[in-house]
Amino acid sequence: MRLGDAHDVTKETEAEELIANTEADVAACRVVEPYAMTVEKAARGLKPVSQRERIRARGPTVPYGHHKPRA
Amino acid sequence: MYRYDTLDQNLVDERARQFRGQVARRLSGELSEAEFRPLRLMNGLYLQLHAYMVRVAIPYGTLSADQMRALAYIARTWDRGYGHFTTRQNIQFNWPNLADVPDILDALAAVEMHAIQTSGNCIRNVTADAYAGVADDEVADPRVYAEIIRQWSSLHPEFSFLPRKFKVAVTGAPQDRAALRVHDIGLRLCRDSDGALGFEVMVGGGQGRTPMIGTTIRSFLPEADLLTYLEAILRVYNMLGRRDNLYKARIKILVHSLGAETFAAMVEDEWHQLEDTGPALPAHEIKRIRAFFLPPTYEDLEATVPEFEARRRQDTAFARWCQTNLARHRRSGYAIVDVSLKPEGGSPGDIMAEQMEAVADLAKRYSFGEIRVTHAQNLVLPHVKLAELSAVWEGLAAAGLETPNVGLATDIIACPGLDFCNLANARSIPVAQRIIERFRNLDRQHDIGELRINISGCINACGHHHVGHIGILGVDRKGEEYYQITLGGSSDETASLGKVVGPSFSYDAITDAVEVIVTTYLAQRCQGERFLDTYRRVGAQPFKEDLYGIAQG
Repeated sequence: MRLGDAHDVTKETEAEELIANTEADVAACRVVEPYAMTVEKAARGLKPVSQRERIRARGPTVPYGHHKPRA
Repeated sequence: MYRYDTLDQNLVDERARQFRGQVARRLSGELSEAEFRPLRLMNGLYLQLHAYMVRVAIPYGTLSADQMRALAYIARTWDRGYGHFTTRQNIQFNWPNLADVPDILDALAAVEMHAIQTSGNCIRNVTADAYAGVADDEVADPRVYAEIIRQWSSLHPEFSFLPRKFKVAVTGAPQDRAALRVHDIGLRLCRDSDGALGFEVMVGGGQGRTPMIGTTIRSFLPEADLLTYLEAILRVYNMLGRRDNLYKARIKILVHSLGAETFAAMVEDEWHQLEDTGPALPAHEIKRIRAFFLPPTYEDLEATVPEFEARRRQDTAFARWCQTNLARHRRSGYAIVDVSLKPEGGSPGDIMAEQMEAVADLAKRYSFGEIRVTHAQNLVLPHVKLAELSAVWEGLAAAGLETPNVGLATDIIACPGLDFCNLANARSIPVAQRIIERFRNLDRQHDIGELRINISGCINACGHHHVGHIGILGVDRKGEEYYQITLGGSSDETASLGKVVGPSFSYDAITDAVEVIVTTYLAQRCQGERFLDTYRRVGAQPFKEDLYGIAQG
């Protein structure tokens, strides 16, 4: 699952509905602890507003092990 | 080193087996995440920003070469080829699959290791002076008592659900290399006027959102009374510690609110009630444990080794490394080697599997198979012959582990920060990397002298920013990273908490701010002063003026 596959909504109640709809996936262990995050629409799709969610979406910003961060 | 007996081994094996069943039930959906969470945390398994993370206990920071090899195997087989040593002398693996964690625990158990009590509101892995048993200023070896405390506190039924987590640190030396005063309990081995061995007992230290320096509540506790006294402290805390408020639940808040004297009196009362029923620590038991920590079979060596001195004179790089990465060993002809895990471009505390193996090989060949982990996120080879330092340095260099910066500006403590941690508000590692790059010139680092820069990505202070000479705390401002600076902290025997110098700096401005602070120090310092000395003499004002361009009150 990638950020580009996400649904974006504008109202809190809609966000709650989205989370409620994950129940089956949570029960089947496909998803753990779902939550809604704030995004903005950018030229290339949705972009998380907070640095935390940007890092969560793209991975660490520093090299680790043999991995290098995405440019 | 301590070796597991049947009881230890059975306990660890059984726990690994039990967790295998719990993971299977979680993967099958039988257990929800909410049900699984307390079970995984009892085995050091956290859910972080990107993946699960396993935190492995390294009792009092002591590792054998074989254990280090096992950690390398785990890193390579079930993680992404590396591990991260923490300020609690533990190691964390950041990318395991849940299904593989039981295999990881089995691999740990096979080398007498585990991940028990690396999470939760229990007595956590006991930490100690990384130079234990070899420091030339040591009164007695703290590992003996750290091991006794480990055995006493492991799965202690009364103290498995404390108001909050509980950290104990032990040292045997007057020079504090274990940050005693920022632990829930700090124990310093000392002798009374009759030469009997005992402890100075400090309580109520800690960092986090309410940092406090621990208070001595007993200047001398006979060694035989160690466990009953610890039990008394824990009982008072367990009874009176705040369970209603997560942020006020640590023992430091209790000690502060009662007052240290009242708290100490309550402990003494409780202690007297425990005299007959508490856990005894007879001399033969101390002797039994001490036998595991007897010095290795040292050779009788000269204090001066001509070939070592010659290389030091002729080889600048070797000499520089010797200058910062060696400490005086209590035994003539030997040295303590600090292995820096703070190379330029690296993440503080990170080490590749191949490097772990290189350290294990060097330990086996040159250091009686022993390795230590420091709370500054470096490693130690505790017993290296002066005559073999050249070979050790070359071995470290071949593995990229010869960074000659221990105690200098680039020897930065940093938590994993927002790149990995679920709790963090801001990144720590790239800030450390930028500062390391800025101060990479070794001549300049030596000119600056001893400087501890500590970085935490949130108020929980895993990066020990409160006790950094320069502390950097990452904060979140509307989703963007900012960094607050504290000055004047120290975790040594003159422990002090840093004070906030002024408004925070952006991610792009923080390195320049550190540079300004260092420049101010260099302008202000008197002959022979370290950064901390200068700060303590002149106070924050000159730094504020240079940082903010105006005289602040």
